[in-house]
Amino acid sequence: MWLALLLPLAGDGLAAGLRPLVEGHCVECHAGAEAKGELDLAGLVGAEEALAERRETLAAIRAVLRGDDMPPPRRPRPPVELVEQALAALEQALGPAAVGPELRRLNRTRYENAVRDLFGVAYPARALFPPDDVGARFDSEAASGGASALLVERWVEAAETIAARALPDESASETRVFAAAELDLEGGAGLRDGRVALFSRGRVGVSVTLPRRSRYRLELVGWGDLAGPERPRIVFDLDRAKLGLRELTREAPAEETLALEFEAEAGAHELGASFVNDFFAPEHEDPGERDRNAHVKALALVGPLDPPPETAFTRALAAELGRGGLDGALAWLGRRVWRRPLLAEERERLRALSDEADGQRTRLRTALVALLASPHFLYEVERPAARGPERAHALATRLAAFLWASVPDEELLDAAARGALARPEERERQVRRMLRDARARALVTEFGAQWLGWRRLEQATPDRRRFPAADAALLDSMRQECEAFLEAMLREERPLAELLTADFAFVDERLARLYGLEGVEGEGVRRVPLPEGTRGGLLGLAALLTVTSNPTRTAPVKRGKWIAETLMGRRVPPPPPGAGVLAEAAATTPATLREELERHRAEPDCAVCHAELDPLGFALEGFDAIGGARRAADVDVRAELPDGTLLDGVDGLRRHLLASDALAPALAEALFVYALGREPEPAERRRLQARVAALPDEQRTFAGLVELVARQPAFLASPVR
Amino acid sequence: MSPVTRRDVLRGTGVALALPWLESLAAARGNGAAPLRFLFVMTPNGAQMDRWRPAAEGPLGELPPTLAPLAPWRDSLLVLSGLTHDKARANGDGPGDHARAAATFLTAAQARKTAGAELAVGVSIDQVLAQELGAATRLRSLELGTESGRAGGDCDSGYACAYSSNISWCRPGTPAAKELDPRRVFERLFLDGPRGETPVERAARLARRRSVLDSVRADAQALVPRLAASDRVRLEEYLGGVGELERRLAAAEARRSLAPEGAAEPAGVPETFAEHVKLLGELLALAFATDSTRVATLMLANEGSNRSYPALGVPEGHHELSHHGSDPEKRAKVAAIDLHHVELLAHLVGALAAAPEGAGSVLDHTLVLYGSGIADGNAHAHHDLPLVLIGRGGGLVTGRHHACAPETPVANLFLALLERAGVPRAAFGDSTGTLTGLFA
Repeated sequence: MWLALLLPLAGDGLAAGLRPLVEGHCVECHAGAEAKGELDLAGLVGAEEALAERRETLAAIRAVLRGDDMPPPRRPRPPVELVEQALAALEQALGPAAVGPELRRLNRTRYENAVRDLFGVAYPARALFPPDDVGARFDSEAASGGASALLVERWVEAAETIAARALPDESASETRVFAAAELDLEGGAGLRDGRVALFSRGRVGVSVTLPRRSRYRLELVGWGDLAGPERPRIVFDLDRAKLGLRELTREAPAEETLALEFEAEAGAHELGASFVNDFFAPEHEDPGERDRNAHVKALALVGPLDPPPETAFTRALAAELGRGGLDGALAWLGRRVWRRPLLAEERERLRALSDEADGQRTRLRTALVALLASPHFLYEVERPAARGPERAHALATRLAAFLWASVPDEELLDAAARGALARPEERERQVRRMLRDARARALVTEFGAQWLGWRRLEQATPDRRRFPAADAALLDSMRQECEAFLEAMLREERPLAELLTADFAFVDERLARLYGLEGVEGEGVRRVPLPEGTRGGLLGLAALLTVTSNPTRTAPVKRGKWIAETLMGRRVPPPPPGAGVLAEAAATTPATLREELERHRAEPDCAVCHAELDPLGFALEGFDAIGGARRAADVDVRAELPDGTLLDGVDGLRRHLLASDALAPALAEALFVYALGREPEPAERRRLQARVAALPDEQRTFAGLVELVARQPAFLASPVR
Repeated sequence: MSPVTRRDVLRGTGVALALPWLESLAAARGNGAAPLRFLFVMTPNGAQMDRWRPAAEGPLGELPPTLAPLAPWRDSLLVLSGLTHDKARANGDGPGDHARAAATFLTAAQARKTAGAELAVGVSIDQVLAQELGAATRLRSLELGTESGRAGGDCDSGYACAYSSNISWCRPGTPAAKELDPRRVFERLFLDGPRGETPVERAARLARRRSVLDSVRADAQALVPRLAASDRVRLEEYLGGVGELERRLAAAEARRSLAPEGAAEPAGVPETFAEHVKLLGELLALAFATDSTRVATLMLANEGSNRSYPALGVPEGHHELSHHGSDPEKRAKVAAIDLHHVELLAHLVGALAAAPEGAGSVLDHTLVLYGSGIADGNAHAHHDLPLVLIGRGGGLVTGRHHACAPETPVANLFLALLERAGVPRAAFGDSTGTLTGLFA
């Protein structure tokens, strides 16, 4: 019996623990040459595998058992005791499982998207939270990072702000009176006897924070000194922009109120009122006609005058409130925000945060603050022991993070609650639905920007003396081009090879000028055809050529490294100690650069990597440090790989990359890292590569690879490795 | 006494928060003994040492060119040489000197070489100080910088970006995130609820926040026992943050905090690097002067920063240039950047010196450590580092160049600072003893 061979590894415990399960439920499919899933359990019999190999198989069995992935649907389920017994035996033999983080925090982007998708509130988390700079390749890897005190502070503030915006106070307008002494004075203005006297273009102002976008009414209480042919005129302003003009018509001791309605966004604003038509005739015989002034006793702000706008979120919440009362609404709210059903005691605690006297909207808002500031919202909690609904909801959360960089919607949560996500067909259906959704754009703006590296445009500082065109607007056009290009690849399900060979580009007038294309005018990138064999595809994107350059010059080594790592999936080891100085020190002009790098490659220590990297970069020397085309006469774009392959410029490089067929596995692996927030284990990598190789042509697309990663056992069974 | 007046310092900066706040401070502060403050400022990519190090040991004569902007406070300087960060060296971990230089700068510990999960280096000296000195102030500490951490891409030879973009570590694996936006810094220091809020509204707001904090604390505590040990640590960090907010809430309930008269809220991140650093420097001075915090760090840029300085006539990247290969032109450009950074430091020092306190200024009760975890960037050397202490806090004996024996750990300096702060430790990082002869 094969289990006997395991004995040297683990002793009786393992064999005895596994035998009932494996013999009764596994070997029917997993045996012999046609073993399902390439897992030949019988094949262990007599195999002279290294101990490490056997450990790997055992670890795979453990992952499957932990993930509840076997047997497949419609096969008889083994009794739970048998599974537990086998798992216990495996734990003992293998030691504790290597476990990914069970607690992964929302990164800034996902926080921002979650708030947008849940409440329709735009909250600039990326600007307000400290950066997610813990990870190596993707900010999704930051998920395992810790939370500094600053981050927790920002989370709590954000929860308060977001809840107030998602559930604005229903209470109608409120009047705030700012007495003369509270007003900011400018110009000819002075505080006297509890009023502000405005003479010769004086202004009174006040800073306010408006709770939401609405109409408001600004009022001025005061009187005038009515001298001269005109009445004293008051110009009201919002943030120094004129709102309108009113005239004072009464003199002391009478007073009057001037009022003006205006519309404003939520947030901090400055309101003001200026006296604009000074008149002074000191010689006039009638003392009352000598001097025109305005007197302000107070400013008042009334509003918001509009009821809070209904949103999809407030409508849905109101419906729940109508159906199930406060408890029903809290349960609904909690499920959306925590991405799982609440326990009864959790709902009770939310309820106890406020009491009847507070009114329902305030109660819901207080609960929402607590929900948003809670670790159950801020972290994905994934326990390896999770089963059933807990496991299904964790998977829903993972899918939404991967495909949308956001949180599950109602439909995905329903699928989890129904248990439907346990079925592969339903998972595939959900993944395809989610890929068609607008939110899947995150695969471009989040995954794509980090995979290909155009996010680093934010730090790019091309030398404006050498590259006068490289202003902020051009860098932004470059970003737009990348996004439009990758989104077209995703939505149009174009063959993956077109990432390299596309015969079109997305350009606006600025990029067209950089690329030497005619007839494109104005803002906004649009699709234009490209001449064959030139710039099409990733290799010609100005953004990527810029981020792999230094400010003043191209950096062939950086470009070569980028190609090897990103497009070919190579791991380029860091240079050995003491290296790196020569190459960087010498690089000034393209001519000496090539010479220096050639001398450098003569060093055996350096040649190991640079013989491979440098030619890839030299093939792109036809593009300058911001991706503009250089004249062929000025540069040498030929390069030779160690195996003798000649790369003649970008087209040669393109053919080389197509022939090496490394792009699909490289992209699949990058997607894996992005989706799981960690590097694949060796066995997972092998499996993934085998699956990519077996992919039918019509699925060799960006979307096809996303679907492939989403069905990897590692993704489905995370966090257990 | 400093010969430089407040007006000298703030004249022509164009970004000054405003002159008047300094005047209102003397009145605002009580008569108690001035607290001791600590500020750690890091400059990336090393320095041109021939223009940094004074020629002779002992009393400072004419300052070396790079330190010249600090001349007005020459009597408050202690230039240190001979100090080493051995833990920033490879020690078998291969390249990644920039990442290590920042990670080790205030921890004196070896960073674990990892690109993602399981960061580990050590708790930095500022955070040790903050634990002790921070209980009395609105914020335990302030961590500031000018460059956001890079959220993707290869930062330095297999080291996670967090190592290059942080010098402040609150736990061995968790950086204390830094703030870039002056406006947010100001709000953290002084903002206390929306404008125009009534006392009743304020009390209600604080009470609501307290109940929310109670609720999320209960959530977290219920979760802890369900997690693996490594994840518990993460959740404990969350709980630590909640505890800090509770502490601040209690303080807010006791007392309203207000910005000093005349200190206007900054609008946001200024356009230029120089203005950005100056404004952060003024905010640090304001934070110290109002005793809003006693411990702070400032990264002038992330380690390995490839920022270009077109205003200085340096369009090349700083990091790229620092590998100058002894090319005189490149070295001159690096030196220009070194000098510029010290000028920006001088603006900060000037603001501290201009804030009156007791018989002198806030600078007299502050210790500013300025420098880099790399000596000459060309060779990535981590010995004989460019370091200078500024201020007379704790009775520092200044106006001189103190040469330590070669290979003396920077950690020995940290032990001396901790001792002076009343937070003595038997050891810190790779310390071998306490550096003596610093204080009177």
